[in-house]
Order: sequence, then C-alpha cells, then structure tokens
Amino acid sequence: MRVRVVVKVGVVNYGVGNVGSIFNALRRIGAEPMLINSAVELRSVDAVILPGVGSFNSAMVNLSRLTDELNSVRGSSPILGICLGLQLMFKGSDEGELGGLGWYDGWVNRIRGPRVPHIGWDYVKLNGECNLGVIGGYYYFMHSYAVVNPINEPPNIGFTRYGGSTILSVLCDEGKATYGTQFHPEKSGKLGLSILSGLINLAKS
Amino acid sequence: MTRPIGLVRRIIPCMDVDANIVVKGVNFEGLRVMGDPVELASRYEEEGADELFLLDITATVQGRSTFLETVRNVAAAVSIPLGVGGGIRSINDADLAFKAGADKVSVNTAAVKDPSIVAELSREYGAQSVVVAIDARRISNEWRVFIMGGRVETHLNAVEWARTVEELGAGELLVTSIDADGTRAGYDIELYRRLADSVNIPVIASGGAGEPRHFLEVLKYADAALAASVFHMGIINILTLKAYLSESGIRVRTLA
Repeated sequence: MRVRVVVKVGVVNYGVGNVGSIFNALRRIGAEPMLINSAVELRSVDAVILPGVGSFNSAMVNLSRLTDELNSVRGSSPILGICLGLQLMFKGSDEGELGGLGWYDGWVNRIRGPRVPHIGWDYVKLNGECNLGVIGGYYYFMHSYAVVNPINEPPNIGFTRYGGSTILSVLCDEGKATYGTQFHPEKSGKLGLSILSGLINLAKS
Repeated sequence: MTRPIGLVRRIIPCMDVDANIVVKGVNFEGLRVMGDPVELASRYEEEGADELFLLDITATVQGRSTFLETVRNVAAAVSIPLGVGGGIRSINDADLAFKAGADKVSVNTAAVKDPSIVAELSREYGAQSVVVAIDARRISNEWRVFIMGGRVETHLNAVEWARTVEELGAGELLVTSIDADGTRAGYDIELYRRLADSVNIPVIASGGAGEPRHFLEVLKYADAALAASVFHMGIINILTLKAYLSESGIRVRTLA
C-alpha cells in the first residue's frame, strides 16, 4: 500500500488581503493550505508562508501575536516569505514605522524606476544555488518596496534590475531554512510553482 | 514618444464569456462560440501567455453568478495573473471578483458614470489591481469614449479620459479601438501613440490583432497587447509570437 503524505502549509493571516491565489497554487501542487491565526495552528503545519498581501505596518501589527512562535519554528520548518513577506524579515521599511522581524540586516526602501509600482514579469538573475530549487528566469512582480541595492553575498542570491537600481529578488538561508522571493511564485507560471514545490520537498525531508 | 524600453512587454489573451462559454464578436456584435474557458486558459498559460483577461459579456443579474463560477474555475486552473471585467458596477461587484480569484478588475461604464469608483477601488485594493477599460471610436480627429459595450456614445475624449483616470488612481488602462476590433487589420497605432505621450501608467492595447506584425507595431507604444480570436482560433500561437517579437527586439518573457 502506498502512503501519501500530504504536506500542510500554513499561510499566515495578517487579517488583510486575499490569499486565494496562494491557496490555489498550493492545492495545484498537491499541498494542503491552511490559514494560520494562532501559535497553536503555526505549530501544526509542516511549512510556513508569509504572504505578500497588505502593508508593512498592518502585517507587523497582526504578526506580533505570532512572532515568538515564528522565531521558535524557524530553523525546523521551512519558511517562505513572498513579496511583503520577504520584506518583513528585515529590520524595517520606508513603508511603516514598526520594526520588522529583524532576521536579516538591511532596510526596505521605496523603489525607483520607470514605473512605481513595479508590475509585471521581470528577470531574476541568480548568483549561487539554493536548495529551494529556484532557478534564474522570468517571474511576476507587483510591489512598490524592496531591499534596494543589496550586498551581493548569501543569503542574498537572486537579483533583478529595475530602473537604475538592483532589487533583492531571492533570499536563501539554507541553515535557517528561511527563504524569500520579492516576486509572486503563485502568479509566476511553472517556474513559480516549482519554487512552491521546492518548499514542499524541504518540508518532507 | 515610445514607451520606456527595457520593460517586459506582455501578451494577454482575452476571453469574452457568456454562460461559461468563450465567445467572440465582430465590431462588438455577432457572437460565435470559441470554446471552454478553463481549457483555453490552460492552453494559453502553457503557450506562454503573460496574463489572462476574462470579460463577462452577459452582465445580467442571473448571468453574474455563472460568470463568477467561471472566474473561480479559471483562477484555480492557472498560475498567471488574471484580470476580470464586464459588469463591475460597484465595490461589492469588484470584491466578489477578487474573492473569486481575480488579481485585477477592470471598470468601464461604471467609471464614466461615477469616476469616484476608480479612486475608491484604488484605495481599497491598490492601484496595481485597478484597470480602467476604455472603448474608443475615432470620430473626425479625435477618439470618443463609448460605454455600455460600445453602444452608447459619451462626450468624453479618450486621451483626456485616460489622463483623468490615471490621476484618480487607475493602475493600468485597457484601451480597445471599436473601429479595429474584430477586423484583424491591425491595432489603431495612432491611438496608442497618443496615449503613450499622455499617461505614465501601463496601457494594454486591444482590438484588431490579425498577424504577428501587428503586435510588433503596437508594442512600440503599448506595454501589453491583448487579443482574442487569433488565439482562440489558433491563427497565432503565443510561443511562436513571442519568439518573433524577441527576435525583432521587443523584450518579452521567455519560458525557461
């Protein structure tokens, strides 16, 4: 008899925004998405997604009740931050007065470029490998803030040129099983889905 | 003036939907059955479409819930951005479309009747999720805005209207030339050239695509090109089209 292990992926609820497309994408790759509202729920999942909906402050306010638990599952369950979810991992942002999770040095700035917000497909160049299975290519962006002109060393491994600057598009911290993408994998076709599959595979191993 | 170079241009198949079937009209009239929305959407994602648009062309009260079901099914089947329009008259209509899985909504007639809906949607969902659709017809030396599916003429000049909705917070414009729509004789290039000079938000060109050359011409001025029947009927394959555009110097997303 074959045993099917369904990976439970917790999508943290900031109380705002629509996580429907992440749920759709996770279901498509055979995972079981679950909206996370409490520390107990957070402990019950195999992987965690910090989604890219809402604004920096509103997300940090809602996240405050989960920060301790997030810090304690970090390193055991893989965590993927998407768009704003990646930005929250830094010290703070031009978008809000509240501090971020502070997992990484760096600050989130308002981007500059031919158009803000930066909406559409853009190229991600990878300088290094990541066990998440992310590869260089085109992904879908939709944002006004980012870590701008980041230092070119791990955990910063994916970069995208926009206007006259470079934005951090992929963070990969294998040691802490913490990952982030500035783009939206759930909207980035096959390449995007393969990143979510990578998260599922890490949760299984 | 052309649009900023270096930005990736998008190809967007558009599906006009009536009772869960994709249909297509000529010059806004005479509908023909084109296929199943989920099947077509999946095929387009596979071929490399950058985004999809679903338009509710029944927009009747009873047709509305059927259409939202179509949106839900398509959103569950694809993982590229999905725009939804047709019959969005209020914040509540928009909310239902977002909940069904839309990433952006387009408003047309409702925005002309009460422009404050554009600002309200932009505040609530962010400019990136708000598309204003403009149907324009050339009358003497200007483009006039038409509403109610192209049936009713307004006093608005399309280029000025585009500027107005940009200020109100629209994140993008979907501009259809009624004259060119369904003819397959090419986009109304002059219209998009004017718009490129007048607004800074992305413009999606629509109406008139017949052959790959038409896309190349319009993408010098527009950020994205939308088309329907040439894709539905298999006259143009998106993969082949994007390879051609890329060889011709237009930056497009390629599938790795």
